[in-house]
Amino acid sequence: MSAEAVVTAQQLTKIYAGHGKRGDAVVAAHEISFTLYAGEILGLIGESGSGKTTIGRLLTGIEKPTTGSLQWSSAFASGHGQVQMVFQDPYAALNPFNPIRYTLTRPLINFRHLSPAEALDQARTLLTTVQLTPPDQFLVKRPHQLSGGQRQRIVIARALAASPQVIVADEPVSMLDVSIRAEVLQLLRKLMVTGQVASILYITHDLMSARSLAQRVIVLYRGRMVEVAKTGDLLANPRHPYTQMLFASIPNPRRAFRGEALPIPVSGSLAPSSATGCPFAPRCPWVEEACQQTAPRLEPLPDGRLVSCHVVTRTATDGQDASKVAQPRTTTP
Amino acid sequence: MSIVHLEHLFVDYGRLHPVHAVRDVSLTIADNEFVGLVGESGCGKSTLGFAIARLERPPARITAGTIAVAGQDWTTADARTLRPERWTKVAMVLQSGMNALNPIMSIEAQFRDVMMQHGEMTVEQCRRRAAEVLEMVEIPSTVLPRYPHELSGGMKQRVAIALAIVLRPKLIIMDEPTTALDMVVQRQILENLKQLRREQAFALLFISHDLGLELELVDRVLVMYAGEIVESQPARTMLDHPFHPYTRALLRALPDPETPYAEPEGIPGMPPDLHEIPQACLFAPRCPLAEPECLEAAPPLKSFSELTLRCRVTEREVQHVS
Repeated sequence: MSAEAVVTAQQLTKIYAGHGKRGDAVVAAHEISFTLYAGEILGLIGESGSGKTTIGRLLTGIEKPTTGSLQWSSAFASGHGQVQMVFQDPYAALNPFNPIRYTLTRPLINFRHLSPAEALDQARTLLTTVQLTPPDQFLVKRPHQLSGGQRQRIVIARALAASPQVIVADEPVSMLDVSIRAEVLQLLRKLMVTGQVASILYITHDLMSARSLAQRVIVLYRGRMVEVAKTGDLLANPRHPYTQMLFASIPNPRRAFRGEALPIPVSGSLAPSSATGCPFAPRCPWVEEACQQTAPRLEPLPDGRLVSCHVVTRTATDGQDASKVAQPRTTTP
Repeated sequence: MSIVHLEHLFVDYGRLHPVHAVRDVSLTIADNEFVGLVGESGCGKSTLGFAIARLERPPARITAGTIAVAGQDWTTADARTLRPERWTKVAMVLQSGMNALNPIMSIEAQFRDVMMQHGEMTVEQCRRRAAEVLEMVEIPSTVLPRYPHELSGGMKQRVAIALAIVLRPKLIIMDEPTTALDMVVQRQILENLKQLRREQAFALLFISHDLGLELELVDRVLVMYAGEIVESQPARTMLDHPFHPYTRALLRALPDPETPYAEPEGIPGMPPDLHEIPQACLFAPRCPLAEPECLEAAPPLKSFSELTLRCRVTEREVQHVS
């Protein structure tokens, strides 16, 4: 991608120190490096506890990394308010006592220093941008008078109010009905196409919604990047066993009607991984001796994607497909 | 034999300005049949699920119609009559296993609580049966002395499913059992349910907003819109031959993992206000196929062998296919 970099994350690590009786420190993000380009929607995919929200929060500056840094390109470093967040739960993200007018004008007054009259005018424009029209009808409403999809549009409008360069959208549609998800995702894409924001970090646990939105995705497992690829490549041919497991987990009635088994056994073993080994080893159907001993590093494959898996790296050099070479594990611990 | 038979069931919320949440629903669930109930939030699918188990609570109330479970009339049965039937005939699994499990009882105590209510069992027998059903959902019996907060969300939900099957009920009603969970955990539960079906005979009413999930798991899907059943079809035929425009729209909103990228489409508009039901097709304002007549009279529910359909436009297509 020849596009301009907006922000580059370098070796971001976030460790939450343990406290209380269960004093274990939690490594929420481990050496996360990526570049977010202008005009790009980057997907961050993983299950709960994979560190995807932590990385989003590091990008916004709400959290500071334990080690590592974020480098903003000077063209996009607008300072205060340059990253805004769209949250998962539109029912919790809006103050129920405040009318929409207040919710939207406040960031305009605080961040952009508009006069109240200008702010009100701008709030109308924002509502039009998120397709809540006529705007005056929505300005006087409170959150409980709106549907989930409408609330999420308000949350997006509020994020836009600070004129951010980057929007971090953390599971913005997972609480919404399937029927209104597509429209909210289309709205996010439109913000990008019309140049309202430079780039979007789209955080989700749903590969299929990333397919319709993100050009590139990072798959996370327990705070580590396990696969980084163009969305099309990733879905056409997921390589890391965890990515394959995510893909196999998507409901697929056609496969069920054909009576086919899952392409990879899906396992949720909660056994802890060895301190030095691959964090995915306890759940991995291909696990080998080496996986227990050393954690794999992200290595490029011939098609340009990055994968962190001993088996994939070893077999890729022979031009083989790991899933056909690796011995499926016969016994489950 | 059927395990559930509903005739013209109506459920309202409130008395003064009632919301007609479920209207004129008739359905039959055969023994050992897996039935899916799908629709948007607010369409009445959970209200219907709770009413079938007679777990509706004020302000919800059944205003008309009948509910028969295993041939017995449940419409007017009181709590005392129903108590011995709960868990043994009909069990329920709720959206969040975290809410369903008692936080201050160990998992074993919760199994014992259910099992000792319904039969003369020793502690040892309870423990053995609990371990057996936990194994069916791939949970090691080592969780028995643990408390709910020590388990992950997915494990708690599987414990709730194990609890539901422990007394071999004839029907399990599951209300969005995987909605709060990760994709991989959802997949495990889906596989658990398919496996359970091979080991134990029971009927399932699976309530969800995810039509893809329904189609993969169940034998027959009921599509609900604004309190009414608008289409019912075997899952195998619904995927390729949906009839009701709402079912078609739900399928278009669903990304298909087997086809190359296609833009999922939303469904414009909103469901109607259930305080005032117009004498018209309720989906007509959002329907791309609506004809003038659709706005003038409510379409009747018609049955065509395995298909039931409430749409006067697409019912004309039915003969062409079948």
